[in-house]
Amino acid sequence: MNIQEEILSSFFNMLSELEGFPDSILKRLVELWKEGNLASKSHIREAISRETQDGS
Amino acid sequence: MAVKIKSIDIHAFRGIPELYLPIEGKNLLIRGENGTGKSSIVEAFEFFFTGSISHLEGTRGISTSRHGPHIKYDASDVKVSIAFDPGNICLTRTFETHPKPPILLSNYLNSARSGTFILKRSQILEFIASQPADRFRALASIIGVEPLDEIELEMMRVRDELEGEVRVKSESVQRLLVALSSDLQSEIQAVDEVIPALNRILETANLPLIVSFNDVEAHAQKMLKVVKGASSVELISTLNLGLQQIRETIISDQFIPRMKSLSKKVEPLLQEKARVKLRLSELLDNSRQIIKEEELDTCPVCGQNIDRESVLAIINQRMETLQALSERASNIRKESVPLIAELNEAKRRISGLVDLLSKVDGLEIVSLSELTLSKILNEGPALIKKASDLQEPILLGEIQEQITLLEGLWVAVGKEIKGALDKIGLTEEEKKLLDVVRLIGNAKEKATLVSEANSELQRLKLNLQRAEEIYNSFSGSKKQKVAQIYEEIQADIQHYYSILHPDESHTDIELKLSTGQRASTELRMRSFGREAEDPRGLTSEGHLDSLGLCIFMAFVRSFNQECSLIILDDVVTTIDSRHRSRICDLLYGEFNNYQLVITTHDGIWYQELQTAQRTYRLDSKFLNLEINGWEIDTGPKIDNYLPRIDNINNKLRVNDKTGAANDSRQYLEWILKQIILGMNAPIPIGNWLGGTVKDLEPHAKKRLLSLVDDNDYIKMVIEAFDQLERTVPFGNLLSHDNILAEQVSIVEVETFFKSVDAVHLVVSCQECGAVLKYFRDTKEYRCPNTRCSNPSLMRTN
Repeated sequence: MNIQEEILSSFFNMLSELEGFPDSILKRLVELWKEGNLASKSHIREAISRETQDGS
Repeated sequence: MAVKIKSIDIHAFRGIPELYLPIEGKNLLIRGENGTGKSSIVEAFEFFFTGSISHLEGTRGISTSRHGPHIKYDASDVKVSIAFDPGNICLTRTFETHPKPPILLSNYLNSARSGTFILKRSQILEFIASQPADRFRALASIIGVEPLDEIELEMMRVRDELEGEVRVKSESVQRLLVALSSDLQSEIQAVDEVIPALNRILETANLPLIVSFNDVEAHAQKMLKVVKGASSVELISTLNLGLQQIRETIISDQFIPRMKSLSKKVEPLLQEKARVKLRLSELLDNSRQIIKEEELDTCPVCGQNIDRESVLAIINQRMETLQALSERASNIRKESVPLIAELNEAKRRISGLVDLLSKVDGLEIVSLSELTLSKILNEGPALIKKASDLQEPILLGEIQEQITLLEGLWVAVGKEIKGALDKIGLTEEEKKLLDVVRLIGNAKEKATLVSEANSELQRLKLNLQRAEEIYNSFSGSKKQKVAQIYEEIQADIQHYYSILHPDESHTDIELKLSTGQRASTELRMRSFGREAEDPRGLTSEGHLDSLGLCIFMAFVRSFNQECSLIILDDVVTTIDSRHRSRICDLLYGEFNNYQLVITTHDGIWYQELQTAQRTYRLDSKFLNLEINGWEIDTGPKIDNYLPRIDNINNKLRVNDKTGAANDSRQYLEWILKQIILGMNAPIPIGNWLGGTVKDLEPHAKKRLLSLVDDNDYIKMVIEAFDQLERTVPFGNLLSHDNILAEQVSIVEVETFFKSVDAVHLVVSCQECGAVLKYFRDTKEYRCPNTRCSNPSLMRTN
């Protein structure tokens, strides 16, 4: 695993262990990383707004 | 088997029309004066692996594509080919094509793609003398976490944006509550306090109370029936509702100050230079998206083949420099949104009022018709939009005038409605009752707005909490990993630094992420007993340069593991000769499994590097080249390096008396300096600085004779120096434009050279040829080469 992947993996783990952090946002962030769109403000906002839009 | 470069073939690139260097997997050492093309060779390596030349990017008017080709060639002529071993695989880079490595070479080429295998003099400063943020960026590019920096930055921006939105929404709720408190003459802090406050007013006026806001309509009708009986209820109700709406100003007090602020920000960006830069930024942004999303391997504009990753890297780099400007433009767009919304809302309210009052037959409100034609409401939103798109300036004077007109008409409409109500002939009691009805309607409207805003505020706060969690987790993970890397690498940096500066009071070198700052790295060291000092405060320029070199080498060893190439482009200019020899120890001792490319303009450093090759038995693993000139049509004139002795012998062979004598004298000065340094010989500073044979020779000889406790050796020293002293005048005569020079024969110059060589031989290890050194701790005069299989050793007094 290279350094970038190590950091990302630790980041996603940290979020998954965070009490009350919605799965829907986490899943979307993982997707964004895979798609290469995590460095995008609008995509991050869209991921965050999932919680208040679909109530998950 | 490690991948090594076998040869490089450069065509039409920078200062090189054509050059083929058969390196044969060896290390490459190049000496050349400034402007002779040695950096062109380094840049050819950089271009081959990265697709660009870093110092030609990011500055307006300069680019690799424009300044990469040789002045007499086109970009389409540029070609750099490198052949690799094992496999004798040859790959080529042009402006249209990029190297497509087979699996065997893919790790090597991927690792080299970021260009972090090259250290230039200017880059050393990024490690040492730059700001913590620049230092972080320089190290992050070697570690390979630079792309994560952009993600972190975007996460931070989302958090900051949401923080701003929460603040604006909270202020809006607060303003509404203040207005409600003022209307109801009671401290209102929440929506559920509105009805009790209203009921207190109704109770005082002896009017029926309301239970909830759902009752307001029916309650108003009930109260209005009291006024002039049921016949005029509809008319009075409509006029009263009209008045209720007029009660709120049509445009907020903040509108004009905000327009002024917007205008101030728009003005500088309308300048031609800024507009071009912004358009370029948009173009780059769009190109980035298209190339990325469509995975294009051809340029969408010119149709030429491109190396996608390299082009994206260049676009990102260029966009970074335009980032500040583009953020200002983006902020302008954001600021314009609420202003346009406010004008549209005013228009909607006027339209609603027209609809409401049109229900009353025969009612004519003249000012209202004029209001619907208001220029600011009909044309204002489009004008603000144009200004926010940086197409036109904001005509503040005209806007102020129009707003004043609008507000005047709004007040006039209120007066006309009030006049219509007065015509009905209401009593004072009835007017007070209508005031109460309007108050209730108004309170309901504001309470509804507070509820909506509160609900939006809760949503935003939740989003902000998530944004903070995301940013903190990401930033924390990155910091933790980078701090761990720093921790691991510090020992290597310290080790390398100790090789260069043994027994010096600089220890505990520490790289530390700056607390409270994103993406910043502090550099600290224990210096002269002081803890955690900034090295810039206590060390010389040479020390700083060598520290930068150590940091680079430590990071490259850890993170460029797949690429064994290291290029040092003229990096040790400020380091003195004593420490330079230790740099040889570092490079040849610690990095002998790498393929080194070292360039220098400094002849003495070149000699030292070459001499150290023998010490480390690396002679056969180096290709030493000297650039002896440059011409535009032929490029660098490169001669294979000749060892100094061979060079002098050549000159003697062709009867070049002056050249041979000069070189022999320089050879002697070099030997004497090595003796003095290696034996810690005491010497007056003036003599050391003078550096001539006359200045140095007596001190070197005296030290040798007084220190070594070996009669046979002493005898050899005396013989060598006696012979030297007899022949030195020949060398001096020929090297100082002396009129007697003609009288010196080539045989005499040869005698001088041989006597110098004899001195060299006496002070060298018989096994490996390294110049012997005195070790004070063990009181030994011996070969300093730790790899020497049979080191010469002598007792000392």
